[in-house]
Amino acid sequence: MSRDFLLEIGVEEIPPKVVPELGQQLATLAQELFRENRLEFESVKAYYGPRRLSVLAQNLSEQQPDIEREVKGPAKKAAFDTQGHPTKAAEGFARSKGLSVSDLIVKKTDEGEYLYAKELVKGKRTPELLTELLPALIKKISLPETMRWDDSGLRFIRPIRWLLGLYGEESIKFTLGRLESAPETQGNRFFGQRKIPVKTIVEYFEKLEANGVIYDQEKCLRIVKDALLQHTAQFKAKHTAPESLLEEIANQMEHPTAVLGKFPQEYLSLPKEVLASTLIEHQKFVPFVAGDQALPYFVGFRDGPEDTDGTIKAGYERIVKARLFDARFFFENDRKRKLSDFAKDLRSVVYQEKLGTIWDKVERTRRWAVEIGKRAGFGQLPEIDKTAFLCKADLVTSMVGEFPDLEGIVGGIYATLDREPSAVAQGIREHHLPKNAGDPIPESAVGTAVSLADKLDTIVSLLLTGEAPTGSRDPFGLRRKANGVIKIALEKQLNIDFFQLTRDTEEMYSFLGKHKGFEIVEEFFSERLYQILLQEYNVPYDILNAVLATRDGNSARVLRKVRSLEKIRGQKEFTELVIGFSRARNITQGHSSLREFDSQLFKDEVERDLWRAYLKAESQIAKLAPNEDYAGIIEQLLKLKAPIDTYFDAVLVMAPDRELRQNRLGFLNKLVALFFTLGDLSKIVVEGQSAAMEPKNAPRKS
Amino acid sequence: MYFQDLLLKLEEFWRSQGCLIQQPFDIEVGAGTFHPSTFFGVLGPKPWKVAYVQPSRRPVDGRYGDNPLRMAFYYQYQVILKPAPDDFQDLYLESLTYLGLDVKKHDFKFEKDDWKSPTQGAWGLGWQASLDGMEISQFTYFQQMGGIDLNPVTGEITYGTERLSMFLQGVESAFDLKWNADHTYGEVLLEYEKDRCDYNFEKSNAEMLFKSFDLYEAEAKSCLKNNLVYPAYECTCKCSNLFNLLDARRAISVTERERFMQRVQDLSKSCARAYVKRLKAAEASEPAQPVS
Repeated sequence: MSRDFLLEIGVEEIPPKVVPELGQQLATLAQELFRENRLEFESVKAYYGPRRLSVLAQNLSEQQPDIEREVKGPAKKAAFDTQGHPTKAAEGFARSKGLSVSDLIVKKTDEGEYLYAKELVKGKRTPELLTELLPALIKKISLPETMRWDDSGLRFIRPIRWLLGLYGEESIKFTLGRLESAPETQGNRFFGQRKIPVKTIVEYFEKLEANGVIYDQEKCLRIVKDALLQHTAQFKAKHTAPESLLEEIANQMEHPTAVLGKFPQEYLSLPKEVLASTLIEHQKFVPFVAGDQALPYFVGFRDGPEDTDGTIKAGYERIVKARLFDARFFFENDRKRKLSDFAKDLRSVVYQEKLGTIWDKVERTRRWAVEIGKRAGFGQLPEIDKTAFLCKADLVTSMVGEFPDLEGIVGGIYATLDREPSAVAQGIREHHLPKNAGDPIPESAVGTAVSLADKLDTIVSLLLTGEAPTGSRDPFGLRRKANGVIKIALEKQLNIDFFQLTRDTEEMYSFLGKHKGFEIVEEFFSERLYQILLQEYNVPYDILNAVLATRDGNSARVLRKVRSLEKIRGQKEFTELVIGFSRARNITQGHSSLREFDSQLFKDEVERDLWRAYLKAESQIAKLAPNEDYAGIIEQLLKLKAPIDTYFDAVLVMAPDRELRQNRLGFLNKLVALFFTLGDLSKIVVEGQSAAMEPKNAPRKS
Repeated sequence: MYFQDLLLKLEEFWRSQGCLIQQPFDIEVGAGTFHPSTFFGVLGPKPWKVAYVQPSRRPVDGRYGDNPLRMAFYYQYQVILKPAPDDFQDLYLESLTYLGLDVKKHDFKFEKDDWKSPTQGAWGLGWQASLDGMEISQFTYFQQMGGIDLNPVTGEITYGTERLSMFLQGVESAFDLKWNADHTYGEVLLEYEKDRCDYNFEKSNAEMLFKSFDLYEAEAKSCLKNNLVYPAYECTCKCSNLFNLLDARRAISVTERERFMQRVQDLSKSCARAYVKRLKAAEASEPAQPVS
């Protein structure tokens, strides 16, 4: 026995970028709600658009199943007197459940024996249940921003204006804030009826369709794409709108219809990136290019039927003309000077109160960049320096003032127009990358060096001045920038130790006087590296904790260590090695200052065995470490497994004799240090033993 | 429809909705939200409906009269409905119809545009209303003003009167609008616009502007000490406009910009707090209290 269920939340225009996410969330929450309440269903599907979030559940059971539940009563001691007759407490409890004392059962609990009554809980009818639960369901949707709009205190992304709940042909009544649900929906804002009565779910979809609402968002997106395909075929060109724009357009409309517009040829003299930004960023219009040449056409979308008399086309063309006029105004203004002149203007632009001007920042970036170029073996040092010098110059151009998203791109264009080397132009363009998670990293060596340099200076200088991000507050985007540095290092397999590099550039920051110290930089990077490897490289947290227990500023090397440990983990002898090592690690905790030992003082043969094994392994590892042969190092360490086990079985490390004890601890510390070439293996979780569990935290200092 | 008739029609429409028809604020401001009828009017619990024209100055938007849509000086039409009615969007669309605009023939969109006025310590969520891709109004549910959470929530509409009029008259540039039968918008304002741009971008005396900013800021603070809410607020508006002028002159660097805005915002917040304090005191002593 089941019927279909539909919920529709009517909302004033939801920001298009979050429409799909909210729609999907509602469907997920609905499924959770059904499961929690033991309602069976066949499938759940989300429908969403700018003015409505809907969810359709097919074959939702009509009733919760009855369940039996045990209700706790008085303690057995209080329920029966010394003769074993039921007391008033027992009788009262039984009566309250409509049972006799003989129906009650006795159960053992942690607090002793208690009487229990078995109670049958009748399942509720689904419509009643939904009336109760739908308001909470809607409130559960998590939102990127919220607002109030009336005195109910209800918050949502935009005002909710109608609510519709249908279970088969039954309208579900429920209340949310000041709003009551009603068996009604609304059509397209301009091309549909307001207040459309709906009796059935089939009718709901039919009436939406008839009232200018394409309720299937995938279909909306298809319409947008098909329209563009038609024009790209017509122009023998391609459009340059990113997928995200097309989705945004589709999610902003209930009935998208393309309108083709044209702009005057004269504006084709503008760089094509500027043309594209003007159309895309300001107007959400789609531009076209044929080969490398921009075309004087664009497509916009209106929500409704065809623009039959050209009113909309004329309107679009007017606004585009005004926008392009503005863009040209900026471009021509900027081109009166060279990019290097703009670079000099940076002397008067404050970067940050304690860090001087952007010019000062650029000077530091130049030194970082050249140093990185040298260490990474990039060559092209003059180009790297020139790029670093020019990379921020476009910040003071009118064009970037108008289109902040074109930062870097405008610099690249102007550099080309100034006849700078193409490596420099490309470097300027790439030096922002990756800006956000998911962005590509710089392709060229010059771009890579300057991107790293710019980010490193930002991170180091702001951390040193005490601007470390806290909680969700990261006003300078330092986490994102550090993630960028690490991603570049990992993907390009750069053999640069950033900690070494930072220490080598230390004197650049001496102007700060007393600062937070470089320790904070290393901690910050280690934490970011931990998060990236955990989340994006799927490295188990315990292996990360093990490897990051020793500070390593070479991200690519850290990853290699991690991978070698991942390979061996789970193998029996490695597990035993970890257990054995953990004994050494644990017993030396708190005695790490003892580093000296005298082999003459070893008493047992077992001790000397381990010492000899240690010496052998150490000399081998010293040869393997520079080549980063971690598999080889693990092999050497594995040879220590048996001597370690024998050692701990036979030797009392914490001997009563102080000298003997300290000698043994000193030796074990050396042994532990040898393992640290790879990491603190005691942090690796092995079966039957719990290692340091810190799944969500950053690595602790060892 | 002449430009002047559009303004009259807006007055008519909102008067019929029960709005008090207010006159423009007589101090230089960047937007209608600076008018005390909005800034103070949205604070406190009492219902308040008001509408008015507000001449607005946006120095950085000036283009010497060359751009058909962007001006350093123009006229906003501001509507405040407190509390925001349930049919707020419909009312707005009705007002467009009343002006004679057939919205169905155009591409009308409510496009996400969260409104924020840092110098006023104000923000709200809402949209820009766009017609065939051109922004013609700002439509906002005010959540905060002067750093104070608004209860009830106020609905605000700001019409770009020139742009609306361009649609109604079918002209390509604001300066071609017919103000009345005999004069165009350009005849009235083009020379003024050019002078203003020249002054704002090139000739203004930055030192004088910086000094004035400091003086007005100090004056606002001293007014606040003497519980002179309105004069303090007027000085705050002066600071806001001086900041805009300095910005257009590019006399303020990026980081300094933040600091200047913060200074104005601090003043705005102090004014709002002083006003609310006064409201509460008045509430405690006697029931009736006119709004602004």
